[in-house]
Amino acid sequence: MWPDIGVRRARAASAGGRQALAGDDLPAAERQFGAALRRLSRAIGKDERATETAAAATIGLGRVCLARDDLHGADLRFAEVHKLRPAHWEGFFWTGCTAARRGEFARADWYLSAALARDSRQGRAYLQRAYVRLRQHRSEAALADLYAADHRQALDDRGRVLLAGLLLHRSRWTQAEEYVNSVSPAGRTPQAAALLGFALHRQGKLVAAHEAYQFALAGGYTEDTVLHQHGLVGYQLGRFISSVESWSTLTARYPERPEFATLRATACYAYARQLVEQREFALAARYLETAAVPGELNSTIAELHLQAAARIIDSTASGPLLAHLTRSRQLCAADPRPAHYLAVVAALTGRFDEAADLWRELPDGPRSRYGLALCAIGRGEPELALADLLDLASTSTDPLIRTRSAHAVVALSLRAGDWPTALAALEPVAGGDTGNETAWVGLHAEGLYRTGEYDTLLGLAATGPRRPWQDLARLRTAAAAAEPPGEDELEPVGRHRRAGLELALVLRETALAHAERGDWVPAATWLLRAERLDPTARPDATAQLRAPEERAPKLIDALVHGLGGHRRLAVERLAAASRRDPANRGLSHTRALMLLHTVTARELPPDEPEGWLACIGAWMSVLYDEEFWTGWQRRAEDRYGASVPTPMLDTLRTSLRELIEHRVAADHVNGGPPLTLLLRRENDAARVLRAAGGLPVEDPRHVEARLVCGPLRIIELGLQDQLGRFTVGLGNADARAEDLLRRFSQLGLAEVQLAAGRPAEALELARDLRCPDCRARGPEVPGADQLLVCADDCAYFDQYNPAFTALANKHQELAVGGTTLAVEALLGLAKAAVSEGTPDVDEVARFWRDAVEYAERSGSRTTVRQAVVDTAVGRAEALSHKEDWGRAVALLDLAVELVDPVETHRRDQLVTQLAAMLTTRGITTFNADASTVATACQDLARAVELSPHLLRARRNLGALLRVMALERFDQRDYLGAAPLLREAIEQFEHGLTDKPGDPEFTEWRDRAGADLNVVFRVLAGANHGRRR
Amino acid sequence: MIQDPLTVWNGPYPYDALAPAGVTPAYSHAQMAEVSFTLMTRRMMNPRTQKAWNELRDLQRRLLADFLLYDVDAAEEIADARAELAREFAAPTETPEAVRALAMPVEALTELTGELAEVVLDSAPPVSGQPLFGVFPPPSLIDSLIEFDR
Repeated sequence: MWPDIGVRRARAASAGGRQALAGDDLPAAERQFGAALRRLSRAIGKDERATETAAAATIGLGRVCLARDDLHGADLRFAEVHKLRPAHWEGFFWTGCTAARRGEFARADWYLSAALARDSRQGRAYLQRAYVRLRQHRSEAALADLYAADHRQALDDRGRVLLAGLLLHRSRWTQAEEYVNSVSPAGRTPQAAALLGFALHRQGKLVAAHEAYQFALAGGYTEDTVLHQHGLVGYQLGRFISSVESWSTLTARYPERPEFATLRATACYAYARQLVEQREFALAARYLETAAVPGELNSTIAELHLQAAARIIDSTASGPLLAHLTRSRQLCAADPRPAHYLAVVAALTGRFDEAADLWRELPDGPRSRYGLALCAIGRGEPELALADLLDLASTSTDPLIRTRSAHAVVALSLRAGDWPTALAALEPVAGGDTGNETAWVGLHAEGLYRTGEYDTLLGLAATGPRRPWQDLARLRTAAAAAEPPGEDELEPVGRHRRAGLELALVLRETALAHAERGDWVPAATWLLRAERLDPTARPDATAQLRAPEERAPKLIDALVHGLGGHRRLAVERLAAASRRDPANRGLSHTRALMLLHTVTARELPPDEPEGWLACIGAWMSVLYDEEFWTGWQRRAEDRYGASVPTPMLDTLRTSLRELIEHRVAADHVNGGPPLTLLLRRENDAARVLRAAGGLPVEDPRHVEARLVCGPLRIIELGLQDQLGRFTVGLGNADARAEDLLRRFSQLGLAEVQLAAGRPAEALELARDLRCPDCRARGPEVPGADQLLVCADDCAYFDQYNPAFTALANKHQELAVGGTTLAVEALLGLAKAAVSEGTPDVDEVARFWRDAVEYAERSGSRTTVRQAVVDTAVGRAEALSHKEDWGRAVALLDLAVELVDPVETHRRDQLVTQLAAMLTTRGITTFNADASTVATACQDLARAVELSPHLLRARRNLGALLRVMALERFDQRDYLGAAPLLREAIEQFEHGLTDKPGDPEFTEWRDRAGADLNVVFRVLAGANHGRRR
Repeated sequence: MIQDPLTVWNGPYPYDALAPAGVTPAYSHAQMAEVSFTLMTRRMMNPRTQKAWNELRDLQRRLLADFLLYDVDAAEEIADARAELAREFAAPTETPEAVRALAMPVEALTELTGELAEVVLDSAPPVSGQPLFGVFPPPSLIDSLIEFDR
């Protein structure tokens, strides 16, 4: 059993060694092979299987030596194998490989042949021997060995390529192609591709050969023959760029060999020619320059650059265009074209000096002269150009230059407003019925119209561009004036940009003629037609034509529209004019009147109730503008020839205010505050702004202008930021700033209600200062003690509170203002309630408490508490005089509750006052009705508690306690009477402490003491009787 | 002074009522006082004209009526507008074509296309396929393929 186990283990170790060797793990391989041999050491030579296994392990150790280039060690190992198995091939094979690696090719040949003699099936040995024989330059013998290896399926990719290479040496192209094609995909190296390309090329398979060469070169195998052949096959195929590239590489590699430069030049020429055919002129020019001997093909290359330039004329980048033209000019200086077009490019890009220099260098011709004239115009010297242009326009032999020069003359004349010269220049190019350029024919017709040549114009054929001017000419004739053309007839003229503008002017002139006669309705109709026809309102209008809204708005236009029935247009025009010139007093008056007449007559649709807001804003602005009134007074006096006293004007202003208030009375705008309320705020605000000197505004006349108005007008003009800055600029301490804040904001509405004696309404407004938008987002009404302003991100806050816009914490500041107003409103409500004959003290208390609560927030607690206390005390006193003790005491109680806690002295006074009043009430109540003794006692007890040193209260409290005790005594309630008497005695003794020896207190105490003794005696007697 | 046809007044607007008698806002106070003579001599005095005259001869009441008139000199405004119209009629205005005619036209560049000459190149010569290098594949390639086993 032992030998079998040992051999098996040795074989296993040997197999492990081979595996490690295949994985290049030489130490592991050596270890395993060594272990195998050790296991077999005693059996070698005795057991055949052990000997075989030992030989295999020894070969393994020899290969480990080979892998370490330890050729001597390898030889020793393989020699051992020869001894172990002299008839076996493998030891001889490896000895042959080792010898080959040593370069001992004869020895290698002998051992490999010995291996094959022992086993001729070993194809690998043939392959190795073929390599050895190649090194021995025995290529025929090598070829035979390679075939033998192939016959035994031992030829790998490398061997196949090698065999193909040897076949190429023997011009066996087909076989070589087959062997290269038989390699595996992994073996298709650039070198293999080069061999394949060569084999294919030699067989005339040009396309496949070109592809194979491309693969080889792309893979990095740029061997000389491959480059040369690649160029050749490319040339043969017409793929000249391949030839250019490969032969350029060879030219660079062998600069000393002119044949390559010649090949390269030939390829470049062929490629350039091909590019010309493909109309790729820029590339063609480049390759032709490379191909040509310097100076030889200059004119051709120059033409190619011109061709290339022509192809990129439309390109936005002028760099390549200039490069081609410049190179063309360099190559062929005698050709005038490059210089001319270089000048054109320069002129087009505003480089007039450069363009002029180029044209001056060229022979004097119409093109150069025209170009030079345009350069002079471009430089801002048209006077230097006109003579030449006039000459060219009449004498040039070049029809294009002649026309262009005429156009330039026309343009210069138009710029100078010289229509006769323009017309003369136009005559040859656009006159008569020969003109065919629409724009210039139209201009010619316009020239005839503008120079009054109506008959000539009307005598020409009515072509498209002429017709509008002919229509205008007819309109200008006397016959047309008698019977104006209808709108339909004018419509084609209106569509024409320039004629339409002219027509608009003509219609406007007509409108003014009607207005002059006071015929407002036709005037308005003509004016509207003029405005509708105004081509400047159309999208194709050029910048030089002014749109109606860009014109300074005209007062007369607005009046014509308004008086002619176009009320809305009139209001819009006046609003636009007023926005441009807010401090224009005459305009303000006209606008105020137009609005008043319009809204009063309900001429604006019901969906435009903003008319009233504008009306109110406009009127208050006029009514408080002193400078306007001074002017109006002067003009009235001039007209009347009599003095108009200022008081009369004051009365007039009051009448106007009442007139407007009377007319707006019933209206609301979009569910907002009543118009009357807005009117009064506007009125108050305008008065306050007047007192502050008016808001400085920009004035088109560049004089210092001040605007007096209310918030509606400020918002309409978009001046809220300006007003905000103005308000802040007045400074904190300035009362006018405070007035502006309170009037030019939502606070103003509450102010109006407050001033009108409506504190409840004022309170409601002061507590909700939100804009309608914020109000719509809820809550609907503020909660108890709440005060709401717009959200911090509200886009409308500034519109509703223009005076606050420049304040840092504008929302908080508005809330403080609202709180102050709420306090005033609450105090007003309380005052009204407390002043009634029999005031509801609970209601009054609620108002005062709320007022104090708001005052805490607005920082006015001291003054508000003082006001509340003073009112309460005064009213309590008044009520006490009427012996309305209940309300008087309740009010004083409120005063004690609401007095500022830090005002201790004042509080003590109030407490004393309250105690005194309670004392008086107790006494008076008891005196009036003795049955109320208990109630009276409560008052007095509270008085004593509030003011312990109030002797009157103490004396009366003691007395009433004694009265109550005596009542109990009479009712035989001796136990109830005793504590009352003790309490009475206590009160008298306290009185004696405060006023020692006072006879009255002494007497009362003694009486109560005697009463108490009687009670005790009665109680003792009763007890005695019960005991008995 | 221009009257708005929509002027609202308590009763007939006084200038309307007295217009047949030639009364205008330009009347002086003294002239207004004498309007009654005109009315009587022309037999135009009636409650309507009487009321209107009463309203206008009283300076305080006339001020209110006058304030509702546009204080605009229509003739002056129209003259200004006419003057501006005249300026606009006479103003030189250039057309886009005219503006373009004063600069080098872009077409001047495209004219190059019409001035080009055809370029014709002679055929390229054939090239020799004669080898310029040694045998292929070169020995170096053969040598690089030899690899002895190990």
